Amino acid sequence: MPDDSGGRESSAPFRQGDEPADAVLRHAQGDTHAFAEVVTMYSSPIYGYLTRCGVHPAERDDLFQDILIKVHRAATEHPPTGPTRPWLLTIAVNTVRSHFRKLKVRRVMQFHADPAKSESAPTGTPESELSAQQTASWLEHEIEKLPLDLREVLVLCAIQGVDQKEVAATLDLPVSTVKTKLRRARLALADARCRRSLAAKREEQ
Amino acid sequence: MSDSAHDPCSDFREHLLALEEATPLDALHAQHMAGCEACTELYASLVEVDAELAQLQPIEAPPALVARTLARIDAEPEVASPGSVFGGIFGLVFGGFGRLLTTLFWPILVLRRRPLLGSGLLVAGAAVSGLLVVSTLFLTRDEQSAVSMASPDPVSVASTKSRDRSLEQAENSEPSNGYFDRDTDGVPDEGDGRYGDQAGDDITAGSNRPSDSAGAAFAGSGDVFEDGTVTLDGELDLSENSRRQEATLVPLAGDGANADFRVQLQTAPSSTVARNVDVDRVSGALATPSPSAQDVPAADEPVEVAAAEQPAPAEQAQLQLRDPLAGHRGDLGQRGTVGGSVDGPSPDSARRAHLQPLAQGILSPTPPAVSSSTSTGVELPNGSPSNLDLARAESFLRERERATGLTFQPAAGHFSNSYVPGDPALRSLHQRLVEAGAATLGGTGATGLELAEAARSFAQPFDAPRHSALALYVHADQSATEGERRMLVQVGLRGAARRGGTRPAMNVGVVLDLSRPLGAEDQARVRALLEALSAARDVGDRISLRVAGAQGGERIASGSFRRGQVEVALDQLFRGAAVSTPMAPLSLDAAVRASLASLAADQAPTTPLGSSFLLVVTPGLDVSPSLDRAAHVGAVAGIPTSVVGLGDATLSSLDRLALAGQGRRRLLTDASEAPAMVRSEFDAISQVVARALRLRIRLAPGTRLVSVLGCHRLDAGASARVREAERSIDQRLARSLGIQADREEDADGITIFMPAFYANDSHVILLDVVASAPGPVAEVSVSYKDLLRLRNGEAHSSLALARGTHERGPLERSVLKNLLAYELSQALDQAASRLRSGQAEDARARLAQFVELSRGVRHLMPSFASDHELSADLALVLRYDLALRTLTPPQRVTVADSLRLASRRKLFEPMFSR
Repeated sequence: MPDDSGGRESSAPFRQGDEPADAVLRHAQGDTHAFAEVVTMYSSPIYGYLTRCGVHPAERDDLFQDILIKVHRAATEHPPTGPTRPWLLTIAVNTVRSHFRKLKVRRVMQFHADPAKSESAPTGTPESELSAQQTASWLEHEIEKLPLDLREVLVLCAIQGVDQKEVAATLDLPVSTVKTKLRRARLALADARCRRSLAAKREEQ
Repeated sequence: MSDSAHDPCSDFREHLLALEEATPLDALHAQHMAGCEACTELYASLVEVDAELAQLQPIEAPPALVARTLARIDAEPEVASPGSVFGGIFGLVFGGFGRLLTTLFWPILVLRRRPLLGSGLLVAGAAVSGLLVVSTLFLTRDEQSAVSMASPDPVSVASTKSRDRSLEQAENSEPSNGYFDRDTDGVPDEGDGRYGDQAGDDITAGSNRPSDSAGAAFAGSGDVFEDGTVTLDGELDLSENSRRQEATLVPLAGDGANADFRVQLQTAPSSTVARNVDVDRVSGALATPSPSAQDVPAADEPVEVAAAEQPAPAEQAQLQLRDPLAGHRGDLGQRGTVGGSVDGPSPDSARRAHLQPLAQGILSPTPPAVSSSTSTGVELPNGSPSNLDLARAESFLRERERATGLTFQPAAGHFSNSYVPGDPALRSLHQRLVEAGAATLGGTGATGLELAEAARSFAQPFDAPRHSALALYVHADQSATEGERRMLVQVGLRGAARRGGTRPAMNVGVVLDLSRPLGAEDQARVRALLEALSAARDVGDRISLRVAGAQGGERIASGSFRRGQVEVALDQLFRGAAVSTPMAPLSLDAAVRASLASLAADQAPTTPLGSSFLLVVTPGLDVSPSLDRAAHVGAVAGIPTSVVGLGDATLSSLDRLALAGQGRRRLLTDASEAPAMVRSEFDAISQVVARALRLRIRLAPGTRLVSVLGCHRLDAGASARVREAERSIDQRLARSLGIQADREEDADGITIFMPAFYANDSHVILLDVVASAPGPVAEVSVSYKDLLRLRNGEAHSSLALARGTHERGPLERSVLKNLLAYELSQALDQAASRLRSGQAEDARARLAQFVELSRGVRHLMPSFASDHELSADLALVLRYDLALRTLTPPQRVTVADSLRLASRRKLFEPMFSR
């Protein structure tokens, strides 16, 4: 099971010990090049968060820009007084939630070929690569189907590697609730995996 | 056909939910996993999911997008910091103010000579500057909300914390009634395939394996006597949400003269059991029979006494079992009827009590062996096997297994709606039974209406949704298979609990049909109805009166419907008083069209659906095609047409108009009923919690449809009308309530449209299907207009069969029980038809078939043997049999009506009886 303290080998900068504070503060103090560092550091995690939370591709780009513009303005006008990473994540989370509230209509996320879903660099045989890609695609599809509250926690904790305490601060939830939601999300995915296995076995027969 | 014992898989699942990450399983659950393939697979899947999550690659933002974003940020106007803004304003205000004073108020130079005055001016200037600064800061506050992590005000903190606490409690609490509350945790069970994407929304799916943590354990000590008698003392305390318990006597460790025993209980989806229901002493009295069973005539076999409504006060229970060795089958019923057989080796040789675990725990129908230590006579539920003819029941259960030689139909297209609590035909039946009077039928001691109202639909294991108007549950009578399998798929709907509140302003058009003269009694009924409408009129309500007949036309304009105007109109209509405006002949068709047009014109875009309706008051009518069409068009436009028949109006034509107009049909036989009728009509609008339900059932590839029980496939014309009605409600609610229209596209799969769903109702639809193999069976979704949250709602669930030979659990049995309810409904309906055509003996024979079926099934499925709902049904049928045996010719129609109404009441509760 992943270590929820966030120590994962990935390029996701939401790792413990990795703080955007320096760049944000320099930006607040007028360093014209500092915000580019912030964007470089956080563009992929934010974009990945939008994608995995189920924001439609047609709206994703606009939302991405909205979030970063909000960060830019807020960093200048109301610099964070506490930890910077939760502050930045809160902007992203609130923006996504507002976006879904405005939609008003609930819909089941239909899986479609999403060019944003990057594929890993080939490291094995074609067959194993194909299998890994299919598994990843399936998993992304199942994540999209989770309720938003579970999806938020799962994406931040289990995929982005954010510490559970920071996620709790970001989502304004007790840590125990974050843990519960994370377990429920994982169990829901495990259930889906069981069903998938059953279906696969049936097809083999 | 056998029932499952306790299923610990749900415990395992609960344990996984509570397990800290990276913590190994405890010994108990590890042991379970070692022997359970399904849980092993679940645990392995969980581990693999965690690994796969860790392998997911980051999603890179497109470089072009990043570049565009940076460019956009660069183009943003420079945002000054608050400090610089403040400093700038300060400097500007104070510096400029000074210059302004110097420039404009040159006498400042003079004022310098008067320091006091100069100081006052400077203080005033400082105050103005301060005001400017504060205003500036205030205006910039809005920007903070987008990034706020500042402490909110204490009230919101308190409410947030309260919400979090309740959320946490809800998430961590025990499942209610043995099932997960899907509205808070949103986690579907293993049968689901789709989830909603909003927190707290109506993700609904019932667990296929209810947790038995809602049950309770009985722990106590016992004494073993030399003759083998075992005494078990203790109290049975059931949790508040427990349901019917199945008891298993399980021996615990013990030696010598003392042994500990445990009564293990499993929840079953039956009616709720109240707190502290204890096992009655064997020496106690029998359970008080339910009123419906009191007059059951003595039959050849004893009929099981139904459980009493009120639980017994808590008292110590004592079970005395004679010769418990090898096996004892006993029933710990709600009221403690105990019986069973005891067999085994001689008790004299027993020193240690040894109770075999009971496979089912519920009464198996062997002759009772009453302990000699008690003086209680115990009745068997079903009598001895030798008196039962099991052929029908065995055939019935075999039919559930037969998967060959069946005729299949396409699992697509529109099917009729079986949820019709507002069906005007039911009201007409009810009215006729009311008119039949208070004479009781034969030796039943009940009137036809009372017998019909004794029929009740079964309590369903569906929790009411808490955060949405509707909850969806999908279950089946099978949970696993090794190959092809015929099964019943049950789709369940549950409405939110009744909501209170005032009704909206009503917009009512009354058309009084005076195509033929009314007698004095009918005139009195019309007067009472119009006066009741006037009395019920509230601020904002608009009611108009239009007359069809020789002197037709609008008599009271909308907005002028007051008592005085009503009196004037009645004088003109029935006493020949002069009218100020000449009237002309007006047909009923034309009057209805004119009223509908007027109502439509009066409707504001925000008028709630159902607050406008047309009321046709008539002594009897012929529904022409144009009248039928007008009513349908009005309904499509959101204005239903209800009909009030006066006196002995012909019901079939009234029903036809009400059905076309999607309204209600009422019969005003007595003027005193008018106020209640008007109130009911006005209140109906607030009882609807969801509208425009589109239920969509897609069967998985390889699963074939035999039938949808109680529903028939609609032809093209009927399907088109249903689609038209659906779109009209969709569009109307978009205009009036802002619920986005979303019904333009047709859906594939089996589609059932329900115009409305009422608060607190439950409804099930059974599909007879054949699944080709383990795996997915069906995906079900329901789209609806949520009137509680004023938004589009969706719920999804799916069903899959595991591989294996799992035995039926409580959920699976509840599906089979609903099939029995359907069978009873069919039997009552067919008996009604036969009786109507004068074949009373054939009607009796049809009922006797059901009795045979019911008794046989309960014998073959012991868990049903002490089900009090099934017992009540059996008792009801026997009462009808008695009524038919003692039938007099004048009672024939009454009994037929009663049977018909009872057949409907087995499926749902009609609106008029709420």
